[in-house]
Amino acid sequence: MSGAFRGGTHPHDFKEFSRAAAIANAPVPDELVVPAVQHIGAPAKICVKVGDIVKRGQVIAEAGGFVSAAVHSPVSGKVKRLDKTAHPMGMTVDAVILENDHNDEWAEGLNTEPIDWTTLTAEEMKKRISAAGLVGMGGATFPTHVKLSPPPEKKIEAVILNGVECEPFLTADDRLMRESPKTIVEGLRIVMKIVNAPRGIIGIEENKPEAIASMQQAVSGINDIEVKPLPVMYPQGAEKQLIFACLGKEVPSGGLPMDAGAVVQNVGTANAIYEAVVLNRPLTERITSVTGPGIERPGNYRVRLGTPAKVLLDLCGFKKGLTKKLIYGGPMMGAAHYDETVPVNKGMSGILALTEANEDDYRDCIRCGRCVDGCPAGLIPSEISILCERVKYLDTPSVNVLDCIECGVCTYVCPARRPIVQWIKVAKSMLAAERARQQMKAKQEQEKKAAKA
Amino acid sequence: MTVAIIAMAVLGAVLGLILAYASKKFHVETDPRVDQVLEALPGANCGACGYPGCSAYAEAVVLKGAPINMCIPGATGSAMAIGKIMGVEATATEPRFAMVSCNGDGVAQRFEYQGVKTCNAASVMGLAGAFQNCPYGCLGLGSCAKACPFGAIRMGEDNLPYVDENLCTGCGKCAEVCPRKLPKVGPESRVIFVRCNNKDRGALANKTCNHACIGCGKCERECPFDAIHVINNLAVIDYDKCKLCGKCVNVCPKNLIINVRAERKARKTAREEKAAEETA
Amino acid sequence: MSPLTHFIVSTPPHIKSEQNINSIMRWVCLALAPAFCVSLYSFGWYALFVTAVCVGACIATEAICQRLRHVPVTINDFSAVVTGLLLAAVIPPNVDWWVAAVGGIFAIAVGKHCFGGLGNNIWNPALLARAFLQVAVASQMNSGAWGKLAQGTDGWTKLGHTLHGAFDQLANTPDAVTGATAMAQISRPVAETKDFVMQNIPGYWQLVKDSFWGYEGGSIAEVSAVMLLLGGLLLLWKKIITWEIPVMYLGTVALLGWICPAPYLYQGETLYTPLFSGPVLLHLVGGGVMIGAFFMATDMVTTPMTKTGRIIFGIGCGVITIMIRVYSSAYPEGVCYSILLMNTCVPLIDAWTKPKKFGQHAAASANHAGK
Repeated sequence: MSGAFRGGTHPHDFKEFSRAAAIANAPVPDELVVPAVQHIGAPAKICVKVGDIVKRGQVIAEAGGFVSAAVHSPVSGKVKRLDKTAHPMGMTVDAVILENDHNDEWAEGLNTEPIDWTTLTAEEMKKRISAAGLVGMGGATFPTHVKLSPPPEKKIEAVILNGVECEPFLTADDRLMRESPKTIVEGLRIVMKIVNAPRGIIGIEENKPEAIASMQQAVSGINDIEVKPLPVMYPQGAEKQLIFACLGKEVPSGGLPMDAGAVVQNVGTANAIYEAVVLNRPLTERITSVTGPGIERPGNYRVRLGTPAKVLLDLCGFKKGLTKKLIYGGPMMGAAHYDETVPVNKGMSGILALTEANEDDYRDCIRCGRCVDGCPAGLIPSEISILCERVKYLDTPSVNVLDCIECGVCTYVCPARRPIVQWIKVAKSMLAAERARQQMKAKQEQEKKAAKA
Repeated sequence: MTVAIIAMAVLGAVLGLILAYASKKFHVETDPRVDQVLEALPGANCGACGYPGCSAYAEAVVLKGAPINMCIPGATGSAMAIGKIMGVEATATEPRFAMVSCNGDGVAQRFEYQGVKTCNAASVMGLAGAFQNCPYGCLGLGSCAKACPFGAIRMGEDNLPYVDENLCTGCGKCAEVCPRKLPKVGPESRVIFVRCNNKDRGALANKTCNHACIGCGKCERECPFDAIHVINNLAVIDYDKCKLCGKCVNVCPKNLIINVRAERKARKTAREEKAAEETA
Repeated sequence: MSPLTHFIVSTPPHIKSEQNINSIMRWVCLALAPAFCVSLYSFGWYALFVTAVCVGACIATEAICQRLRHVPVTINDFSAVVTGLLLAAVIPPNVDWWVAAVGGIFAIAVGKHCFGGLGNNIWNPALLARAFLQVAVASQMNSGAWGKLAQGTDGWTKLGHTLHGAFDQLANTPDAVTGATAMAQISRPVAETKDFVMQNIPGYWQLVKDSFWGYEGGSIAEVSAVMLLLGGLLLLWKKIITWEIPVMYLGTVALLGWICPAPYLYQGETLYTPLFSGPVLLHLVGGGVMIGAFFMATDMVTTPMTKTGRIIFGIGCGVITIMIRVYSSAYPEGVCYSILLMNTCVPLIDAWTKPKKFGQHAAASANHAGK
């Protein structure tokens, strides 16, 4: 029953919708909406003007800091206007609206013939990755070059590739592993060289036997890389849980993977790393699953970033009337949205149309303990939810709310249908606001003191 | 039988002595005025005075010499009563109440929302800007009404909160819970009020709401006392300078600057007319 | 105001498990059904009538309480039905109908809504009501003479008397078939030989067999161990309950029942059986252990939330059950009180068995190394 980590649950995986569909190239629309915010960290700064002619791969928004990523033009064409667009998470962000000239010309020096990456130094490769605007493509969208820059005192024991794809419905990583295992392995070897790791592990859930076979074949003959089939258990693909499953080590509470001697990358990111380093290709497209019961012909598509979701939905036969929930990402952690024109961004691993919604009303906690059994972070979600229900948000750190990874297991299993994750999100933001208030107060007091002195 | 009676009597006497000794030995001096002050307070424990609850404030008044007019719900009445107890002259405080700075024209929800039905929860979902057309307006889930210790806020059919000025004491609980800080507490003399919170530029604001402040600056130009300014695309009144002339009310193209007294009067007459109609 | 799109927006997760309160309660009802069928066969229609009174009283009380508390009425979630069934399961089949009604009302009003409704009660409502009835109407609950295969005519007769206002006759109504329950036979038996061992008395195996299949006397639905076992396995299979409590409870009862020297009377003298000679099987199949282990002690609201906690809870229930069964002279059966006592300990157990948060250990050792 138990997975490789403590807790977890078994949602039906619903992969049957799109697992058989090979990755196809999605049509490139005439107009693309490229948001400047496609990653966690500082927003990128738009560096083109209306009317500018851009080539594919040209930087249209520069990284806004170290923890940030550049955005590149996904097509060749003209900047039509600068506007706002909806982000999957609900906010409105700046975007560049491009007119596609359908020539698909790469900017100079990009998309070159493959080079032998072993001749490059770690720094050179990291520079290429950073320049390509790579971010974690599993959905967290953390800038990749930051993850690949552990402080020198942290010894990296292993690089783990995340091919778990534990979110139900999504099959993009599955298909990628089946169709281009070689580039993924090359990407992994590049990462291993950059962080100087002696081992590579590719973790894949056992419900993807084809992907496991394909990856195993690709790594045959490579001694330092191992394909590790993992038991099917949500959230096996959560970073810390995956490290535990692969290395048997816990990442300290509040720590980073590197504290357990691990660097974790998504398989999609590994593929993009290969493209960035070997082919000098910036990130201009990604694999996205379009699936769910509200989709007539579910499939996996190689999509240009900035393609409005509507293009894909229409392509796949979107049953709009039947769809009750439109989700960008997976059903456990993805964001429900009201707008079907949200453009595909670097972290959008799936577009999901669900025809059924959950019940809306919730009851008192019945103390069944299912959330406690399921919580992979070892928390007592019911306690957190009760505190939050009584608007005692500021007391929640005592029940370790900040250790929550928001995987959604507690809310999935709750028979009283309590929206625990939402409460936790509220509590976290309240705590952040309170912290900001405290800092402000301390600063003001300091200033007062300084003024007095 | 006799033994039992004697035993109980002795036991009672000994324990009584111990208790008497303990009460002398561990006696804590309390000022009787603390209880008197506490009685003079309304007992809502709203915290508007800046102390955690009425008893803390009462203690602060008696023992630490806190100002006697801090109780906002109790207003002048409380201050006078406390003044009498403490032997201090009380100056009359002006009654305060909350007003909601949203006229609710742009708050139609964009989608059906499921989850925790509080404004904070809704605004945390990353959907703060997407919940309705207007990212500054009232979310309409009634957290303020639930938070009001005096039952002075009622959610209208248009999902906007309505403040009953007779019940509202100006404690500010509503403003505290509102993620957008729409209820604004002010004195009764705050007659002119900007009923909008939209800080978007004019064109965008105009798109989201028919009655949004577009920052046109007409009020600013019209004001003879330099009391109203457009700050961050939103008209803001400086109540120290405002002389209640009402010129801004007349020029506002979006009708979002209101004269509270006039509105109240209009409501009253409307009510009276309705009552008259009903009786007739 | 209608929203601008028909898409529903909420925080993730967007899918939920199939189990909700309704489905859980329905499965529990279904799991109890076979045991009630046997009770119908054993005790006749009057037992079913008592059950119906219990359930009806529970549902009505729930609705009234929720109205009074100004909370949504949730009688269609089956939780009141479950409470009613569980209460009926642990009261004798020949009680007066008003005893069942009072029990049902007490269970819901005092046992549940006084604490704030489903999820907030400290004690299992059905057991609390049983304990209440045990002291309030002891003569009806402790008759110790519940009919073995009694076709229950006495109950109907009593009902008839009640309806005719002949209350005075109640006390004198004789039971049709009398016989001590299995549990009454374990508790301080009178032995004829000096080295008494329960297993050796004639009829022991018959007693075990009857208790297992449900021919032995007892409360309405606790008579048939096999049916309760089936129901319990169904709940385990459907993952409504987890293994910890039933396994630990039954295991502890079996182990301690086997080990503990039991007192018995021999010629007016209290003697003890040797160690490791207890009637294990009778302890397991007799009395209320089966329904206690699978249905009462697994009540989600009143049991610990952590796995370790549930294990402790199960062991505790088993220990107290055996203590009462074997050593108490007042009560032949200890399941009810053992579970209620352990319910009381739940907050403490929960506080003791807080799960370790992920990475806590690593963080602690890192700190240690740092120092």
